[in-house]
Amino acid sequence: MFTSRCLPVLLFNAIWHVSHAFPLTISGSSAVVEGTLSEGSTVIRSLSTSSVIWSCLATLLLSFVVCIHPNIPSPKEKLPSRILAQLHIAFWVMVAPEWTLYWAIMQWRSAGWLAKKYAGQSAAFMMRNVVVTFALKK
Amino acid sequence: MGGFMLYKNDNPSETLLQCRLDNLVEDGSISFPVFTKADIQHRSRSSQPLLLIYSLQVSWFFTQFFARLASHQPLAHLELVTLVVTVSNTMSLFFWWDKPQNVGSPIRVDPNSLSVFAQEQEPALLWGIYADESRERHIQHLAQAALMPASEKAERPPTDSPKSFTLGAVREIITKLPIAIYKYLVVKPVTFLYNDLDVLGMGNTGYCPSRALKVNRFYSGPGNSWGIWSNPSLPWISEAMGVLVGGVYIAGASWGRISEVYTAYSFPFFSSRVTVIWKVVSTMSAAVPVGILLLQGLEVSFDSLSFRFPSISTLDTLDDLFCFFGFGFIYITFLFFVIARLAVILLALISLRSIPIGVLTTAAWTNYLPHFS
Repeated sequence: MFTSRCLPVLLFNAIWHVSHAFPLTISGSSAVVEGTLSEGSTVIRSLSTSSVIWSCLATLLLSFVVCIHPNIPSPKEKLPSRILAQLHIAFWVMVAPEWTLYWAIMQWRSAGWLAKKYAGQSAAFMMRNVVVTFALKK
Repeated sequence: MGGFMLYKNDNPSETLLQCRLDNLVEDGSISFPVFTKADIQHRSRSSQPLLLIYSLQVSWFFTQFFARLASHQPLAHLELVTLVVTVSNTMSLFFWWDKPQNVGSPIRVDPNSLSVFAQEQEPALLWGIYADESRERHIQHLAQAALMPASEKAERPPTDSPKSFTLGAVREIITKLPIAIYKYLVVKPVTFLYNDLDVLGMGNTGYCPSRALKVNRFYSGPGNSWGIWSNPSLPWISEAMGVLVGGVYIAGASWGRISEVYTAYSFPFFSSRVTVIWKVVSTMSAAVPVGILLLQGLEVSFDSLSFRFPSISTLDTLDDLFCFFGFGFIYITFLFFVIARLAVILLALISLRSIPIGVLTTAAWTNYLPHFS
């Protein structure tokens, strides 16, 4: 509960800080350029190498946390094993992102098939206005 | 997946795979579990604020990426990798939209009567899907046997092992060390990778022993083994995505030169040797999906042709041939593919050591939003 509520705020603070506070510092790895670079592209602020890395890493981390929907682990699975599972998935997301897409498409399809088949049957057990079709997609 | 858990005597007994659930409902052993959409969404641990932040961050990233591309400013290769992964993940999010995220516990399913399960046969005989389990074990065994002939099988004579630190013990360690290193640095990772190829890359059921309490990490349903889908072409989106990923990586090879032409800075993005490596590696990572797409396309088209003209046996033979070559191609090129993709990521990180100043600037991206002025 703590992570799901507070993590977004903390992460947003971090990204905000990185993208706004760092450019003012002039160190070995950063560059402040003024004026126009080429036609049409006005330099409005400069970034440092660390901020390029940070924006990429933040985007990657966010896309991993938001987009990846892992399968349900065993009830006996402990925390180290769950963390290893996350790393295992992250490895394939980085190496072959299209396979994750394939995984998602196949699950969408097979869950849709099951939902379509049992939507009518389970509705008989339930009250009206209960949506089952998409609920089964898990 | 793995959302339904069969309970026996108030203990979790097995995760119901899709076809197992379907079969059990059809023969009346269980009734289809009763739940609502809200029940399922309640288990989801996804967070709405995070989704908002994600969409803001991604739209910012895309805008500045394409604005800099349009104004001929150089881009870091890490941004290239990020773009590709983010596009693919966002497409996955579309297909996973209704799937609850990070569910901790499955839905409980109770059998109608315990007597039904008392005389049940081996799952492998009842459910065709479990045949994949033995198939996967077979693949693992083949991989192990190919890389390490007669491993584990060598009969060791029962010697009383020396307890003290003697020369014999040292010699034994020295002789065993290379084999151990080979086993844990080559055999285990390769077997592990091929196992993932089978489940994640090719959508097979995955190693899921009968009465297991979870499904495989990358389980994605029964596949089309039952012929439940009339149109099996949807997963081609992912293959096309693979081609796109490789294509973008190839395009990244020439960006250093573009930056030199269009901007006043003459920082060498890569040294010439690294540029050659990048070109080789990105071509490899694009060529493998192209090959898979081509062979699969040929196989599917010959399959449909042989279905339409059953009298011509040549079409059937060609179908089998391309199926064989398709699988062979995937299994042979797979390792090169993984190495190439890893090398791309590594090179993208290495290139951060000497990036041109243009990378460190932000384009005036508001110019690229459609507007009147």
